[in-house]
Amino acid sequence: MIRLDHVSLRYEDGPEVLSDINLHLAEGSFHFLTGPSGAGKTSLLKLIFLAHRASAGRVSVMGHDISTLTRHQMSLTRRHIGVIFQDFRLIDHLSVYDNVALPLKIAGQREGRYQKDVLELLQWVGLGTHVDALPATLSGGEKQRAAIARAVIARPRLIVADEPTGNVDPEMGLRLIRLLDQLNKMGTTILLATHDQKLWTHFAHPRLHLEAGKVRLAPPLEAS
Amino acid sequence: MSDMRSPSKASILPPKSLAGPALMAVTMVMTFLACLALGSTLLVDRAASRWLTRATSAMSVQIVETVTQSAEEQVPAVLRQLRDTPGLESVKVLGKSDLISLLEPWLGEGNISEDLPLPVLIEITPDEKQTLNTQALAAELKAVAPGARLDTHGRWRQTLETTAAALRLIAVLVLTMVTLATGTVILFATRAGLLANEEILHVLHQIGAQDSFISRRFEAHFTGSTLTAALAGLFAAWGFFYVISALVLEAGSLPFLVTLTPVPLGAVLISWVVTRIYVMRRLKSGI
Repeated sequence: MIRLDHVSLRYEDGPEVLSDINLHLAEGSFHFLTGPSGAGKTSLLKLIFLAHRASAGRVSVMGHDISTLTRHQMSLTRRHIGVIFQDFRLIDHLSVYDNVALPLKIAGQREGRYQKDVLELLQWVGLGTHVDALPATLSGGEKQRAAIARAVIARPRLIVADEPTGNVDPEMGLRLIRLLDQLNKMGTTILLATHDQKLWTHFAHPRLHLEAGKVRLAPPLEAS
Repeated sequence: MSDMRSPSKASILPPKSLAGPALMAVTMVMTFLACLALGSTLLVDRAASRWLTRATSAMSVQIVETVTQSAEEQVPAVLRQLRDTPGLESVKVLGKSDLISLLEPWLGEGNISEDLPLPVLIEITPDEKQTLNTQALAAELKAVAPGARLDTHGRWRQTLETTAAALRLIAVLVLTMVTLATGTVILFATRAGLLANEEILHVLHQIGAQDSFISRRFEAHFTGSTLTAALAGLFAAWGFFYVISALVLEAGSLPFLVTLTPVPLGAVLISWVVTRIYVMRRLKSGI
């Protein structure tokens, strides 16, 4: 699903943020990505969800060598990747329904075809009564659930989450990860960056630890 | 939850943060100015054309006395020559009272004495359907009557033509400047719109939106705003020309007012082209 071979990243003329990263994540896997602040977790995720190109090395996502993809192909590949941001990145002037439906609208689907799916998904994530609400009126947990619904509505093969529990209370954080766990059981590959030790001790998934520009696989801890 | 909702009409780009009232106002003023420039050019052009037609159709032969012949003695030969010349519609010898009325504006009413030597003036009207060789006619008249001189009003016509050409040039320059200014304003508004919505653009890109999809949203927004503002500018210009039709009758006519309608359409076209090129270039500069 994801393969990085000798990948390095630097922003313009700045220092190297990632150096000689080698990584392979199988389809259907669930990995936590941990590491101290500034270790480059977000940069690594950006390479994987195609927001940046690597300065050196080869990034392959869903069998596509990213360096060979055109802009058009990059857009099409992104449609199979759901991204959950720490700051939600919901579009303020759109309702919860319109935010969640956006990936399908962009993919050119007719509303008549996707409306039922969107409403059912919102019900599933517990936002059935907030369909027409604007993001500003939602709590942090509700925003994060809306962001997750947007990330999964197009049934992506890969979900990349960057500190998805950073802005919600611990109980809500656990509920969100359970939601992702359910998606993983349905076959979706999950890569979740977090600095919250409770999460990786609570869920028995392998952990990738990034430090000083290098990544290593840490064994899963005993689930509590 | 399974009840069907009415289709969502939400715009992906926030309408308020893109083109504010300032852009609308500037576009309206620019369209109004462009309509004024185009309308004025058309009116001046048509007036100049009418003046030129009149100037071309009004020619005269002036006969003055020579050392051997008085003006009157030369008239029969001149009239014979004129009658034999093809391409003339009418020939009319002006009477003394006609000459006095022509001179009175310069010399004052009642100031022209009976003994003032006046030339003989023959008014001729060329046939519009035929070509008149004025140079040959002038030479032939000179040959039969040495005191005869053909006045084609060429100097006036040239002045009129030069003035009309200058006015046309000014109008074209005004239209060009207004077009550039409108394009620049829209360019800045588009850039501001892109910057203000950078986060939305990132989100759209991230969930797989293609450049053309995003660009179409900006194009729809800016062309829509431009059309609204440009129509307001057109209506204002129509109002202006309708008011001045008290002075220039043609300015209030329906065919004339209709000729201004391409201006707002031009503004919309400029808006679309500028937005499309700018947004696509900006988006392509990303990953």
